[in-house]
Amino acid sequence: MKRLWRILICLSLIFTMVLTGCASQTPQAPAAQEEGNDANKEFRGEITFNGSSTLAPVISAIATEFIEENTTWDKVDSNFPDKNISIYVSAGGSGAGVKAVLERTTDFGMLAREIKDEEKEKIGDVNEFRLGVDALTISINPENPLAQIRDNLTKEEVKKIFAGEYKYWDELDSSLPHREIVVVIRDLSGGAHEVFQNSIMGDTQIRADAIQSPSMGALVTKIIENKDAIGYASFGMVNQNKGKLIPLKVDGVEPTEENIVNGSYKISRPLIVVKRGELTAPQKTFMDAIMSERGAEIIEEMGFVPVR
Amino acid sequence: MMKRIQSALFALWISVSCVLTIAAGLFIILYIFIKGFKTITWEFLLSNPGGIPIGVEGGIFPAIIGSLLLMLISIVFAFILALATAVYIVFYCESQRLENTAHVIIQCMAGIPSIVLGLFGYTVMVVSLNMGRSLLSAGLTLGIMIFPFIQVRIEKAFREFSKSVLNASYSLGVSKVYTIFRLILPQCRRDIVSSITLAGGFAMGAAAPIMLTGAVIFAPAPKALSSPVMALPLHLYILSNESISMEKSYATALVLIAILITINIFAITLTLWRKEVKR
Amino acid sequence: MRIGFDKAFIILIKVLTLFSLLLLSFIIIFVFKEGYIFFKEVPILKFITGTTWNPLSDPRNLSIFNIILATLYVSLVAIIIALPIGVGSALLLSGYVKERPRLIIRGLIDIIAGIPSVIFGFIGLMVLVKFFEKFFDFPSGESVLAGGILLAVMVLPYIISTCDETMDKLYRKHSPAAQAMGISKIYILRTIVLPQSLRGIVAATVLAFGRAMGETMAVMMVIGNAPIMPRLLGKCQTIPSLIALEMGMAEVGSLHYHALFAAGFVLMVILLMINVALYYVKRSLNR
Repeated sequence: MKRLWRILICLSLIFTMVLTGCASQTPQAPAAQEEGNDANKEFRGEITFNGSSTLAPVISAIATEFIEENTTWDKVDSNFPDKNISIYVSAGGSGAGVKAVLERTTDFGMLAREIKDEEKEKIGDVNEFRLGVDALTISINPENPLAQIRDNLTKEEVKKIFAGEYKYWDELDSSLPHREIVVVIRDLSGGAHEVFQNSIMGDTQIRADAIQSPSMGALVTKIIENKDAIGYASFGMVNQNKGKLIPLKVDGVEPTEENIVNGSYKISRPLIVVKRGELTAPQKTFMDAIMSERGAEIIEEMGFVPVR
Repeated sequence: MMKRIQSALFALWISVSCVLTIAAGLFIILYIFIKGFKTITWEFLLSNPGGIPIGVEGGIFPAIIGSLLLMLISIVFAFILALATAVYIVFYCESQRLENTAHVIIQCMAGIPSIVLGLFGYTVMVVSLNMGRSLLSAGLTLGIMIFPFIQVRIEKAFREFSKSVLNASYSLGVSKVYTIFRLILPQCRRDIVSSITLAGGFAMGAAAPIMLTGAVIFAPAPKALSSPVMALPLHLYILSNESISMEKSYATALVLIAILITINIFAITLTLWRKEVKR
Repeated sequence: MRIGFDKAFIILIKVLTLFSLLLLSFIIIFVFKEGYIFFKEVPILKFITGTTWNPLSDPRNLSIFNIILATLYVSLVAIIIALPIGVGSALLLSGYVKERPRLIIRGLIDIIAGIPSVIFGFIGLMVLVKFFEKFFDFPSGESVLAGGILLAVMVLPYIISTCDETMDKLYRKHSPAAQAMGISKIYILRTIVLPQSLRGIVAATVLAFGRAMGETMAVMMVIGNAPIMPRLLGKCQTIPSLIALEMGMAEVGSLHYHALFAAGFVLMVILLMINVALYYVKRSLNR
């Protein structure tokens, strides 16, 4: 009896090792079955979205309406079975969205930036949908004395503030109080992080002690609550919080819908949704809803510039 | 004279400490209660989140259901394993070395930060085993997190059981299994239930392990084990961090605390009751 | 029939136990393995002593010295604040409170221990950080101090529970004799209970320290998440909050991903060292 146990234990340990080995490989095999299912028309009434914290509220809003109007799939299209519509949205930043698409833990990835070439390569079969455009405004708190004296910053000034070359507000303009500039940025997974780095900072690093917010919403919250704060708040979110933070002009260009669309406001970014492979039928209907007129209305209501 | 001063200072120290402790505890609970109370209506508790951005209007119903289900799954998973392990270690384990090894492993587990467990849960369950972000992945991860908690308490309860009664039972020819089922478990029932409920509360409040393994920011009330869920702690985190709605954040916090305090009071009354019965 | 059932039950128990222990060991091995993969690329010394963390820059900089330091620093601040308050409260609890109310108060303390960390973080954000910004005029309230205070409140129940257990026993042991000699309660507590409960206090400290170091959510919300050298009033980044923030975007299998595991692994090793140190301290106190 004892011998049997010893053998069993050894086997289990080996099993554990093997499992550990399997766990660290990229999951190709089981996922392949998943794709097969999609093609085999097994109807999945659930759609998952993951990615940008800027886009997440938009998709959630459209999804809520879609579900409220239709409740079950057969009301959307009579060919569909009578199953409940379930749409799930989670946010972790644009980087997380790409990762989730790569690892097949989500149907759609939401990105608030262009998808990189290397990411396209890794995903392989990329299906991209453009929902609209957002811009990164350089915003400050309304109680910041800067708001009274200037409404514009040059690109150089922005760069110096974010790089930490200007540490105190009075270095920017001597009439401002000697208070430390509180720089708020998105963490590495944010689409905004990439966009800002590319369009303004170039090769310069942002100061190491900038406050990293885990989402665009948190970034906006920080600026709203701290009068010495400055950060690259999403245009849409600035509109959602009118009056609570003040967007500044950059190089004389004001962040308005017009300027964003015609390209004169340079710090802009696309709002896109990506999928690996073809869309299934239910996914297609939801995507149509997002790209529809009503979808564009919701996008606009949330302050972004819809693609029309 | 010196002694007088020392004693006086000492008395001051311990009184101030006590006051600070009570003040801190009361402050947290009262603050949330006062700020959150007015937002709580039946509608809030029973409807889905809505509005633009999501969460600004409507309620937190899916999050409540999600949290309760997560707690349930984690408790079931952890309890079965913890009970078996405790039973084995206390009643069946022959070698001291095996027992010590088991204790060391469980101790190590208790020391793993919850976020690392979340990372593990994501890599193994969500990705490799292809379970996807789901109630199951998150529930199991939470179960792993509370397993050491329950196991240690059950083992303690078993060991407190009077050895003489056990020996009497064996010497009468009663099998171990029968003894366990009919004698020990019923007696320890209260301790076991209280430790399970405490652990469940602990699991419900944990946000880190479920962030990657199953919790999302928007989902309807879950219908299957394989669907992602909303959970109260994560919902609170999102609402407050993104300043979607401060009032609703307080209300969500209040609901969470209320559920947890109810669970804790339940567990504590059980222990108190047992102590009374023991008298 | 009964024998069949008995046998089946025993086998079931053994299987379940084996499964749980294997699962737990698997997790420990898993974390170690994923971290180890990282150490093959970046030498462990550089990882621990370098001071730049920037996974997206080119070349990548993945060193967590600042972060380790900050994790220790924040927990240390928490212990420094919580220890006197906790020990003091436990002393009063053991000496001055009768049996029944003691259980109730212990219950209340357990309730505080049960408050989830997100709620602490939430309160920290709403109350502490704002307080620092308003009253002390910090440019930004997120700081090591905020994290420390928050953690202190969170570990307070653990310290009080652990200390109280020891102190209560001691008090009951010495109280009758001491009171018969006419010594005041304060004197008993001060000169007898306190010095003798040193072991319990050390155990409580280690327990609290471990808890503080592993805390994720609450700390993440109030420390500012900047991986720089920590100063008391400055921002910092701790290992758990680093993992939580970057976990979402680190692709499984990438170097960044393994770096996060390596950081978690380092954290576990530090916790292990503290526990081992405790074991030796306990042993020496026993002599």
